[in-house]
Amino acid sequence: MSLLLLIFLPLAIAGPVYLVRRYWTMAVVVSLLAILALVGICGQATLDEPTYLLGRELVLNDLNRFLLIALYVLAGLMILYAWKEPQGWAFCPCVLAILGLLSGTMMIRTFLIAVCLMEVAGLLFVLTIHGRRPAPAGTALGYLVALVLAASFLLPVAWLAESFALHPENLLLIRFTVIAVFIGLGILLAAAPFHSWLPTVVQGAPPMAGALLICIFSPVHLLLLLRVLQENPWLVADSTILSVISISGLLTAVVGGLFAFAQRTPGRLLAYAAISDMGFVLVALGTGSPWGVSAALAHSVNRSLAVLLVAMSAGALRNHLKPGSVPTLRGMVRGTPGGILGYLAGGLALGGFPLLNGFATRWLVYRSLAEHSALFVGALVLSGVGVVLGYLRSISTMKQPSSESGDGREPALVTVIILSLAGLCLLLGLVPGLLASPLFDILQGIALSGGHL
Amino acid sequence: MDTLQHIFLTLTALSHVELMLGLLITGTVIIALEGWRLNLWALIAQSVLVGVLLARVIPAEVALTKIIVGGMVCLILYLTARRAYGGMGSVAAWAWGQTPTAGSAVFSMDLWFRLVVALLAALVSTTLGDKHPFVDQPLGISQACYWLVCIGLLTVVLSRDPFKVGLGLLTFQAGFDILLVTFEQSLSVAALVGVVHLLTGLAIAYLTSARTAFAVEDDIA
Repeated sequence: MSLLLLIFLPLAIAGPVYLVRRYWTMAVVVSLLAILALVGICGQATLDEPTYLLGRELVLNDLNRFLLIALYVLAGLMILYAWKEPQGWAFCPCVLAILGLLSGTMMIRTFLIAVCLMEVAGLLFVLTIHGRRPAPAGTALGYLVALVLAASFLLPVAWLAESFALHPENLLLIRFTVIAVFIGLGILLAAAPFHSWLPTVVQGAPPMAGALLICIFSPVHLLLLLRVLQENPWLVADSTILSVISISGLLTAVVGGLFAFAQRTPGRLLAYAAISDMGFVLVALGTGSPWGVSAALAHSVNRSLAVLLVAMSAGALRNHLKPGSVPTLRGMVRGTPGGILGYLAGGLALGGFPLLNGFATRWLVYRSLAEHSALFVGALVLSGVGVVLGYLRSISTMKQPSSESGDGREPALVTVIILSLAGLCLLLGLVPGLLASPLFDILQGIALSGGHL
Repeated sequence: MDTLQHIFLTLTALSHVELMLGLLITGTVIIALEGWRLNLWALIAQSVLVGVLLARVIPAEVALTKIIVGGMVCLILYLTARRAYGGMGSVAAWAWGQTPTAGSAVFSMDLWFRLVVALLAALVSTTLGDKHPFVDQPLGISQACYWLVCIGLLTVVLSRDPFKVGLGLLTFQAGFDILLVTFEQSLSVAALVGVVHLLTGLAIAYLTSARTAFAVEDDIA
């Protein structure tokens, strides 16, 4: 019963929140209370006890619970930020509805239904792309096309897998499964060469909508990929899927790092940095070892934290810097202390700068790779350098604010949220075990290679 | 409902060649012609033909539900297009008011170009359908699936307007829907896929309205 609440409570509350959207504070408070309730329900729910929805089994396991609570907390921070920096009328209700649908995606055992729920969540996300100001033409459309194409490729995956179990002599089925997974999840995870839609969306959409896409949707897509690999051990044993994931990850990291170095606008820079980081996640997942899978998931959570930090900071800087009034870094720190510090800290964390959380989990990825290839490690390190340099360069762009007028000072609550997130990034960088150890405990025994599930 | 069912049962008497011919015509209209009313008629005819084709694989009631969902999507799109494009007969007429791009000057994707593309897509899908037919499925199912996926994808690639891209996406989804019902025929999945199609229609309607509304705002500014 409590598992159904995780799906239907946010969906039910999204409607009333939409109705009271003109009373913005009330909408935010109701949304935050709903998210608190979700955290409580998820924390108290019995693990591995099946519940049924439309005759299909829903199960909450350790990993789902860990990720769901992390996603709820991130969504709560986004809504709290949106209280002071509004992101459009549809933001709060859409976040709630998306959380409900993604909870279902993570818990339902039938892959086909999980993909359908994820697609519905993605379709609702389209409503958040036009925020207070219209997004450029093509922003939302680019996402919609990517979503529909990706979901269509993922729908037959479960059937292809089941067919191979019945006809193991038909090797064409394996090939089709790998292609469907590669295209479907490659598009959703914005892995190279399917990455080009993400920079367009993050650049054009409000900051929190972009963050929602990277911080909330991406981990769920990653979990879907992990599920495909776990539920079909033959796919790992008899096909080259792990090599495909590794090489695609390396390509993604390098392409993201190179393009990040060349970017001037905060939105595109953030998107390419996130793409580069996704490359790390895929490379770690491609190792197939418990250590690699733990590193991939821990890096995915760290990536979400860093992306949220950068998105919030970039939003604050864009809204509160007066045009032409801050020619120096000191001036920027006075007006928007959270914005500038958060932007730098988040950018460096995304690039894997030492002492920050991005570095800690990148180190795990390097360690899981060390025995495989020095070339991989070298290319990954260089891609991180590209992102760090991109962020250092973009600070000069920050000193030339956009033509939009701002009030010159960011709200205190925004400063507190951003600095807390920056502190958390530093803490997780200094004590990486806080995140990696629980994940490793949860994932112990899960090795994708060798068929131990 | 009885009348609908009667018409539907009459249509199920069509042969697979007639159904495929119908799908070829509707797909070509969607990719080649710009009139939004004509495009919507083609989309609704395509929904009916796909439903009739699917009735050979799944229970008639479920196939009828898919036609009703297709009709609802078309209704949503009709109301949106009427508001968005107003008196203009075609999507292109509205698009012509926008700033032309360098690409559009180099690549003139006019009617003839689109007709040739549709012809090539028809050849590819027929060949694929003959060489790689779906196992144990009635005639025409695999060809229809390949054709709709091809023509939907090409419409998406060749268009810039949200409405036209949306029609391409719905056609692409219809193609995958045919593939889906060949292996998953449960009612719950059919209902969920119906919800996905309806929401896709709503998203397209929202983007079409938003684009025209924001374009008007820009003009005023």
